[in-house]
Amino acid sequence: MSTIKLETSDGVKFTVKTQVAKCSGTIRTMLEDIGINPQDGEAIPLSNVHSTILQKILVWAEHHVDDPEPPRDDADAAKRTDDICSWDEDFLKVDQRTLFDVMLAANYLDMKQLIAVCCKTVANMIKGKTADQIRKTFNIENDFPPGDEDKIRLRNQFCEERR
Amino acid sequence: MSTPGSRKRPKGATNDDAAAATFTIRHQPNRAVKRPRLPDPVPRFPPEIWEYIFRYVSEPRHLLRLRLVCQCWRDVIAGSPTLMGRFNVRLVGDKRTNRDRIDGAFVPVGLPPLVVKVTLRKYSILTVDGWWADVGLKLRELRLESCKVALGVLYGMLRAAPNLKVLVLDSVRLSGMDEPDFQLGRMESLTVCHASYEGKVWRDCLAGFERVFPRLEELTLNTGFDPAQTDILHAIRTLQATLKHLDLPRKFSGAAFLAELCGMQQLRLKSITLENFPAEVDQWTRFCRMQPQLEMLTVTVNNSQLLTATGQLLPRLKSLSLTVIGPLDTSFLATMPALESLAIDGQYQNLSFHGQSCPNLLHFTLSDVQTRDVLHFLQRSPKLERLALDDCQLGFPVSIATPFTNLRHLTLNGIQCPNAVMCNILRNCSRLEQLHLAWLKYLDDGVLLLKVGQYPSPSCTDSYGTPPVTSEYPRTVPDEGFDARQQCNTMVTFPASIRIVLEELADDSGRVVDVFRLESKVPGSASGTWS
Repeated sequence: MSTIKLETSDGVKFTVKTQVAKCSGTIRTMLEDIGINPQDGEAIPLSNVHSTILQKILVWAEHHVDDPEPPRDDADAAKRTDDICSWDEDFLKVDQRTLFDVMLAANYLDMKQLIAVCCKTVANMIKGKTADQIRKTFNIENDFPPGDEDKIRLRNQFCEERR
Repeated sequence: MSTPGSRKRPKGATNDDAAAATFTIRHQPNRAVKRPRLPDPVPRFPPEIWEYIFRYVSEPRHLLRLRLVCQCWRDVIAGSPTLMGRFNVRLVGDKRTNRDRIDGAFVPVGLPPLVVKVTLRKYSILTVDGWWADVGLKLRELRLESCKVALGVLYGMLRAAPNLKVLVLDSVRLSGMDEPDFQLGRMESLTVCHASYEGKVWRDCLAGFERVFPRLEELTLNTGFDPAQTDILHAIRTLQATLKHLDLPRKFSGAAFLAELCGMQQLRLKSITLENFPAEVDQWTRFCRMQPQLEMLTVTVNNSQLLTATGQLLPRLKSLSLTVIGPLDTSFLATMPALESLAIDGQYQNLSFHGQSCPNLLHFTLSDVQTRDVLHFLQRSPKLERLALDDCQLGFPVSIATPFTNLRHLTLNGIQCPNAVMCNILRNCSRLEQLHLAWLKYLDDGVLLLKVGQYPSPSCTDSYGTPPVTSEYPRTVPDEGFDARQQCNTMVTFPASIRIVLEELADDSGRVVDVFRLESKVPGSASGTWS
């Protein structure tokens, strides 16, 4: 069984099955296009990923390693968020900070399916909340100059969606 | 990222390259990764990730709300063609303030830079110099509603919109004549309804459209647009290579018209709306054989035999919308196993679904029908996502053996059934996202309390996105500041002294809960909350 080594931002090295590591588009590109040879024994540096997060991501990749390639999605179509499988739902029952770190790392590692399931989870946290509640949930500062918020409210009235 | 060593090292990992062993991956569900508190991650989230997240916020009113959160989120939405494409931005003329003319001095206030869908309503459009060039270039969808415009000006607008895919002319007063010398190769859909043309010679108007939209896939012409049959046939013949969806005024669905369509060798329709089936089975058979790609059929029917033939001739049929004007035998359903959408307007007929099944049905609408067995029929449609029963008399007692596990949208409007039946229905819909109740004569607090107690999801009270019950119900997407209570009172009306009030409140822990309060005109009424 072929394995490769990955080195995280905090200097921790992981030996991982190549097939699992290739769930990451970034690593796949390094191996296939750039020609990094895992047999050399040198670890691939993942300078944007902390070991605790990589550990979690590898758990996800191990579980989903045999998943079929997802169909190309239509960017313009509104997407469902109620189709998260129970394993993923369970996997992402983490504190908000970890969820965001997993998402950032998945983005860096180019793991589209993991990004998608994280996005759905965050979207579900957003839905149905008022702007103020969203700010509280994500600890976001209201940085609008006075009056700007009212202008947006007014303009929002001129938008409507047709399905 | 934090500095190296600031977090707890995972078990089994080491800094020593030589000693690095195969790391054992172990799933630890429900355990948050413990490490020192880091700075808030939100500010360093790249905008593209937020944009990606927002794509999953499908409700437009939720998306609009996100624009109010912070400048970054507002800019992410305003800068995303995908997200802006969800909105149709409306400019409305106001005659009282003399702001109903689009001329050389017109300034479109409030039009976001990336807008791709625009509606102009109640304007006299005289010229669109200047501002239109920027808007038109990005435009994918244009709707003119209750506008007055000369054909020359309209063509001028279209010429500057090379990416246009959808054009709707609704209640538009056209005038003048013009011969356009350009084409919009990306135009897919043209709808003209309730329009009038000063010139009256629709042939001139249609000839222009044929020239400008050479690759049209969808053609909808409705009341008010009154060209001769020969003119319509000329247009279809010209566009036959690309045309897939045809929705025409009722008078154009006679036998002679179908015969003409049969003669168009390149025409391959996916959907058609017909007033009636032709009188002869042979003629309908010939038409179906010429159109094997047909997936959607809308028709008024008094002949079950022709429906059975339709199922046999059109194996791809996915959507069927029927207006029934005589006794109907539903056995035709057995010939349509691929059916995903079925709508029946029964015109107060008795209808039996006994022994029938539609295993792939996703959407089902039943209007003005007396039936005893429709719910049993739907029990054999496990994929059902959307169900609307309007003004139907359901037989009872009704017992539902299998829950509607995939049902997300339920509309019950004017159903005459006792509370026990209503309870039974609601009890078996555990994954509802939208519930729309109206004119339920016997509905009482007990039924609603059952519902209130049953569904944990706050989105259960979401009634938007369903068609309006009253004409006053606004089409606009409400902003955060809108009065939900007022909207819901307008929309959900119960003659039996009960009204539903929807409110959004935060509970003690700051979590949003939807309060589903029942108010009765009688003091001491029931009330309940779900979160």
